[in-house]
Amino acid sequence: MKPGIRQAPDSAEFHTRLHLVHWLVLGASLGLTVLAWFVSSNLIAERHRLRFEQAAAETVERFAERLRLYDNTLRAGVGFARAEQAAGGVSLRDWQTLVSSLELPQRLGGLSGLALVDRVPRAELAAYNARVAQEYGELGFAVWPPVAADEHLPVRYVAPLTPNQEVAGLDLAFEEQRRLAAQRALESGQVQMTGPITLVQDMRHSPGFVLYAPLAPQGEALARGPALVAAAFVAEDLLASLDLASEHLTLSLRDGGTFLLQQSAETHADYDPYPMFSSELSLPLYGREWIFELRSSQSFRAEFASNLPTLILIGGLTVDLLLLGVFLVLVHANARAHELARQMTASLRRSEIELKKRNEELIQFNYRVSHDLVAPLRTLQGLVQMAKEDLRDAEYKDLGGGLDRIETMVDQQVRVISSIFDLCESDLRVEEYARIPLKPLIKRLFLQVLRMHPEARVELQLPFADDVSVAAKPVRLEQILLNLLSNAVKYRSQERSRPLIEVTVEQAAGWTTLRVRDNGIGIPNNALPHVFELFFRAHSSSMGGAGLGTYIVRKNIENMGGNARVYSDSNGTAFEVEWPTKQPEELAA
Amino acid sequence: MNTDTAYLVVDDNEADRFLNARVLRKIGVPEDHIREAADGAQALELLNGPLAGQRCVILLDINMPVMDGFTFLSELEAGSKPEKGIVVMVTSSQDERDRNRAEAHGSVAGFLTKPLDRSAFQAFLEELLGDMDAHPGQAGQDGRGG
Repeated sequence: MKPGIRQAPDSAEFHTRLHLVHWLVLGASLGLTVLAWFVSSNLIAERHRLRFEQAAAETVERFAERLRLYDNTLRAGVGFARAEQAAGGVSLRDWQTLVSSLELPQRLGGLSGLALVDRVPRAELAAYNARVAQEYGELGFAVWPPVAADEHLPVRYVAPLTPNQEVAGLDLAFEEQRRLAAQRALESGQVQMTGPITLVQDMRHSPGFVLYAPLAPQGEALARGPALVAAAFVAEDLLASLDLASEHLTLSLRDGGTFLLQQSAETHADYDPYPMFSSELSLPLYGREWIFELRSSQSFRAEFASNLPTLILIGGLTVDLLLLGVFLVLVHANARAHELARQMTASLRRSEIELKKRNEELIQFNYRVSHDLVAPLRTLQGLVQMAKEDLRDAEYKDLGGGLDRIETMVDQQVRVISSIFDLCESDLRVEEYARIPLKPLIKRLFLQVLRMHPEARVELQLPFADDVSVAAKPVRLEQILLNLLSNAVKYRSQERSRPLIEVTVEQAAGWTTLRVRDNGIGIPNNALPHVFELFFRAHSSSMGGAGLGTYIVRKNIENMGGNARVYSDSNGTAFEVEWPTKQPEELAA
Repeated sequence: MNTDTAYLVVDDNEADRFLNARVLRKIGVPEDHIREAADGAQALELLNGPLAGQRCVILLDINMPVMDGFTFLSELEAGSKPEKGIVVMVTSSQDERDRNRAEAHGSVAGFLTKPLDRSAFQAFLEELLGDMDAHPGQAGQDGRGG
């Protein structure tokens, strides 16, 4: 690139990269995606947690509700017993009627039965046994097991009899838990519950409880007769009757340090070893506390698992990727547009510079042509005026010389004008490349030149093979060689005995170089830079030059994409023209 | 005509030198007062050699090979006795730029167009040389014609 051509700063790299703005938009979009994912994840997790806590609370509440039902049933039993007692006494049949009308298995799931417990002083136990046995008839009745206590608490009636048959006659004083709970109920006048025990009728020996409700309110002591209504239940049965499957959780229940229930992977298919949620709730019961450990189950996970956050994340990331793709496409298109614009600008600048150069050349050409065409005409005008004067004055001394000069100048001018025509024509000529045998051409042109200078005795040397040829535009190459040979002959040295012209050719590195060397008078150093200018003459016009030859050489070699150089000293002058070598396939057939 | 003054015709065209010399002869300049040069370099040689120290009217062409008119003017004005040379441009150029360039040179007394008109040139010369004799050392300051 020439220094004159200002180039825009090379920003191609800048245009092929994402800008800060692009990164900011991508970053913001990515941030929003992650935020949406995070928020939706949290919202859904929160909703699940609430759902779980609700289910957990509901589960505990259903336990409590069932126990309240048990409590109410006890109180119904108490009311019934007191009413019957006041009307003359409770019978086995009455008790069975009561319990069957309560529809225990259907309405009070988990409750194994309802019993009426008497309070019998030790001294009256034998009579008591006999009396109640009489009522039981062939079923038989006996207080058991033997207990060494002042007061016995035998179960007089229990219903339904199956599977509670063994419970009839059971002396609740036989065991600490039962005895103390009964005692508390009697003393407080409130419903009381034992700690976890094994019910005698429960073959599975799983933890169970007995609830006691006193017939007499606090302070109203009953020395003997019906004292308590008792109800027993096994924790496992209670749980089974609640049908908690729809809550999607599993639980462990303990009373103090005793596990009442423990659902695990072995016992429960829905058990989740890594639950989404778990919590611990307590339920106060008659002075005791049941601790519920609740865990979300596998079905909870299946029921409530949501892939919405994942969808949001995937969707968002997809959009981000698309955005990145769009940006890359845009940036690429932008870079291409910039590159195109840059190329067009550079091309326009080149054209502009070329045009300016051509314009300046044209101005110079105009000036030179007008001068060099007008100047001889002025001279001719002067010569003609002179001739007219001399004819008028009949003075013929200068006339002959004047007319000779007119003739010479007209001849010369005809040549100049025809050269200018050639030049203009060659500027417009479109010519194909062809392969031209060099020696025959040079020889023919040399002879042509010699015809113009018959007095010249010049030797031509062509130190290359006969079959050497070059690829060139034929007419242009001919004009170049003709002018260079003509100059070499015209400016030969008269002082040398052997004027020489040597033409050499070199074809290498994609360039063809022709060199025309002579041992002529040479060109002064200060004239060398101007040799190829229009109408430039290094020597006086007596040598016959019009200042067009080397200009024609330059125009023609430039047309072939090449250039011309000149070297000169007192030993002679060498003109060198070189142009890009054309490949065989680029030549006209 | 002042017989002390030498005349130097500088032109690369032989026919022009012939015509200009003839005009000088016709207006009375003796043959041996007229010298010719084919370019600026030859003219300088004459001025520094045979014509040195002599007042000299130089009829100068512009476009010449080897050394053109303007280069000659610069060389002349850089010389030892520039006031001895009185330059009259005699050219076929009608280009204003050439005229302006010539006027910028102090030694140029006139800008005349080829071919020289004999009587006009004679009047111009008489006025120029008369003026010079009345006010020596003011060559080129006035009396320009063309």
